[in-house]
Amino acid sequence: MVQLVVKSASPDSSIPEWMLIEMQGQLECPGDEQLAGNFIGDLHFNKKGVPIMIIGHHILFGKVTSLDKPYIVLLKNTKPTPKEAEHLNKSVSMETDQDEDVVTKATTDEEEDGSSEGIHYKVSAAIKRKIVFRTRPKPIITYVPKKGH
Amino acid sequence: MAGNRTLSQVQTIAELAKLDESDLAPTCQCLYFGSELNAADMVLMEVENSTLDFLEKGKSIVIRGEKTDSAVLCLDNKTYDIKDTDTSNTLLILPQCSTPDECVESKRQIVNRQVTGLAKSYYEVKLMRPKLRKLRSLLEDCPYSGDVYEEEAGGKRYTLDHILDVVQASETEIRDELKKLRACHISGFWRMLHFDYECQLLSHILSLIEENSWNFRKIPLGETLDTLENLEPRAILEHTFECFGERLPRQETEDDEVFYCLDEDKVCQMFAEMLLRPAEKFNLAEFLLSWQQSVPEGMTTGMHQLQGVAIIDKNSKPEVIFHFPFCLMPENEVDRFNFLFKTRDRWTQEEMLPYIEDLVTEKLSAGALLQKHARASVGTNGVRVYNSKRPIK
Repeated sequence: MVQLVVKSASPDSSIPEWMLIEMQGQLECPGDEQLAGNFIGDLHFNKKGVPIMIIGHHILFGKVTSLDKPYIVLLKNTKPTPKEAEHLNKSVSMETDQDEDVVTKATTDEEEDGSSEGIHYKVSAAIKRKIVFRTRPKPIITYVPKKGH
Repeated sequence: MAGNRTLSQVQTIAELAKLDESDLAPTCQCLYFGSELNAADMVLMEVENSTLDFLEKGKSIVIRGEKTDSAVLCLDNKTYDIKDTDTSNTLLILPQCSTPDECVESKRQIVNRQVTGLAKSYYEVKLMRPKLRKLRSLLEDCPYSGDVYEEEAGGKRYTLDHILDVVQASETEIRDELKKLRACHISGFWRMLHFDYECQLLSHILSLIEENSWNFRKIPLGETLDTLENLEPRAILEHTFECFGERLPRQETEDDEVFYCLDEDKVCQMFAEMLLRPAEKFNLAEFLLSWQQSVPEGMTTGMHQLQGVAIIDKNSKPEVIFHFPFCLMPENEVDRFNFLFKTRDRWTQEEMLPYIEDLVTEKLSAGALLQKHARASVGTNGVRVYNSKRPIK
């Protein structure tokens, strides 16, 4: 390692604000299933502004706090991702000429970057507030409703 | 799979949890893990507000260090130590998430939110003293002794970019240190000048001053360079003026002539080093006499010029002085005090200050530093002295 230059991901160097949710313990899926793509839980606020989170058969009460020191969210890239970003925005039926357009754009971005190889970090967001659930989750006492007939 | 949750499911579980629906804000946010969730690619770093402002202005921050170093974060003029902090909590990162004041919609509804990052640790940064000692050792590898010696000069030369690659400090801090080292930018490389060569340059200038009976507080740069350019390159001569003097503000009456004022303290200090370097120890009284005789006419030597250059042993008879340059000091605080107390058992605060001053920060005064590493006692002569708190290694 020598020098890793870290800067804002957006060309106009604006940094969007994201949110952090902090809770005790860790989240697991039943069995060995991957977390990616799975449902976590419902986040409500009551009229007093208290965040209430229901995860599985557990309920958590928390609060929204401002951070003394902000976090920056660094995205580690091994390659620039403008191509991926473009793909996400495009509809499924992508025309050929558009596709070419995308490729050209991606290469120019790479050249501008000057470092298409190796690790680099981009600041994709700043976090100034968080919703924190400090207390242990309480179980919801329930019965499993029978589905179907 | 994502986003298939219905309002009725949300309501059912809320009811089971004995939440009073009328007390809840109408919008419920259903959280899902993003389909491309990859904890390793997203990193949280806790920074100061000023760092965020800095980034928002479009400037870059740099993470620096060699493989064996612990990483540091540099702004343009500050250096921070980076520490990985584990937490037993789970941190979920959401690009979009509403807070109570934003959930104003009156209709009962659900909004899907993606969690794109999951962290069990984050990076903390702490402002630190830049690690600059390495800069000197890099530049000492190939000191400059004049163009004639360049061909046979071995060792590695460093450009600013090379330096930034391996020295863990911000650019401003590195530039300040280069100035302190009296390093010169020669054909693209930053070079320290060999001590003997610096002496030679200075003596050329001083002889010329003497020849012309100039006042050392007002030396014409142009004339000096014109006269000496056969001996030394103009740029190096001008560099010498920058190191040992100060450019005088331009005056209305003198067209384009630039004048320099030599810094008496810096010149005298240089002469003290010339005398002390070759000798192991020097009888103090004799030294003071030869020193004053060696300096240019009109300059006066003083003990304050020896700070960080030499120390005096008052216990030996006769009293002696020896070369003890600041650049020998270890960078690390504990090692520094160990080294000082190894050199000598007891120090007065005044003697020690020049060698620990750079460790003083806003939070840690010189007094606090001494309290941390040394024990005070009052000697038979009534002078307060400090000795080591720890066994000396």
